[in-house]
Amino acid sequence: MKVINLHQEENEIIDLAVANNRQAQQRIYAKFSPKMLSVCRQYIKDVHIAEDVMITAFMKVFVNLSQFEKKGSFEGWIRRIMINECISGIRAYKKVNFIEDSNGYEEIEYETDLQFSVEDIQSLIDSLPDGYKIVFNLFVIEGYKHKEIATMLGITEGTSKSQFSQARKMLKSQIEILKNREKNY
Amino acid sequence: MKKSVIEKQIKEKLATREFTPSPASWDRLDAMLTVTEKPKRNFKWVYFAASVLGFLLISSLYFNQNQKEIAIRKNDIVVNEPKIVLKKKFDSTALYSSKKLISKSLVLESHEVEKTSNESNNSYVSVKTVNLLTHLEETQEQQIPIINQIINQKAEQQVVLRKSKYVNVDELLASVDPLSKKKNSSILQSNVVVNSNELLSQVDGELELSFREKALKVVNQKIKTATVALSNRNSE
Repeated sequence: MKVINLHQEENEIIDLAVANNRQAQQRIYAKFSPKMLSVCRQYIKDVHIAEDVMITAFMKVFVNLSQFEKKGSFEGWIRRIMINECISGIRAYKKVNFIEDSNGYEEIEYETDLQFSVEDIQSLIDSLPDGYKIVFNLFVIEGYKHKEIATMLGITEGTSKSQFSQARKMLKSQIEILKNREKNY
Repeated sequence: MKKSVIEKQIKEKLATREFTPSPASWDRLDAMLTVTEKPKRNFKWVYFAASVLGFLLISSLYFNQNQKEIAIRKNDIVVNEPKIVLKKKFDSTALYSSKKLISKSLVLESHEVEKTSNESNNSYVSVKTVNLLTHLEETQEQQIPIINQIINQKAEQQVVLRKSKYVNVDELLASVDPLSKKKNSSILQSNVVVNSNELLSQVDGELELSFREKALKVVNQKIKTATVALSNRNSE
């Protein structure tokens, strides 16, 4: 019953926000902005730039809110807009190259016993180049398939796979560095 | 490509993470939303008005184009009309001058008759009057073919003008001028006693006429060039 009531409440707020009710829009923003800023931070290293991108994405959310069919998850719909805005934001700031490795991709295994903090994970992701980072985030965190990533970024499936393989290789070396640092402490 | 344990760990930890945005972030978004909402007002009437104006403009242009075509035709006629008027004027002046000369000669003859009647006796006068009358008749007979020639010439000119609207003005003048000269010489030959002052004034009048003709010719040429340029522009 509670779930149904929450769903109805969300739909009512959405309807009000579609009618440019500023209070309803503020409520939606207050509810989803912390999570969405975290999503933007995964892609953009600078928090301020990530916040700018998030605000622009929220504006697109409210402008196109009437297109939301209320069939799927509202959070998922907003998240998708955020990711698209982040990718276009990165591409606007600097040119992102997605280079396909002619040797293909290789399976890389990490060590399993390691436990990282959120800050460590973020620093690991930040160390990746933009091309690798986007593909890694889309595949690992957002759960997209390589085919979907390829269509989203306008690249081939092979390129997406090779980019992910390169990202893994780089992360492995970064994890090794972190591991050595912890051993020294 | 399977996800490793570390990757699953990364996903879980990042999914629970939250960042609190700055307090001014909502105000910025609010300002952006107010800016985007303003132009979203109903502007259907503007589109409607623009479409109506566009339609009116296109239709007026279309109809004006048709009118312009008619106007060009009118101009063509107008350009040719001065030529006809010129000829007519010239002919009428020629006829008028010839008639004037004839009447003057007759007046002179009558003056002579009056003078002689006062000076000499009746018999002599009667003989003289008879001679003068015969002389008058002769002069009149001499004048009639000239007038006929002028009338025929005028008719020919009219025919020529009817045949082709685009007749060169110079050619027509050239065809008319020798005849007028002939006519004048014949009149002079017929009337030996002519007032020189009147002749000079007549010549002056003719000179003025020629100047007028030149001016009209220049004006006609300019109008012609203007119409040709206009027609070329329209055809382009």
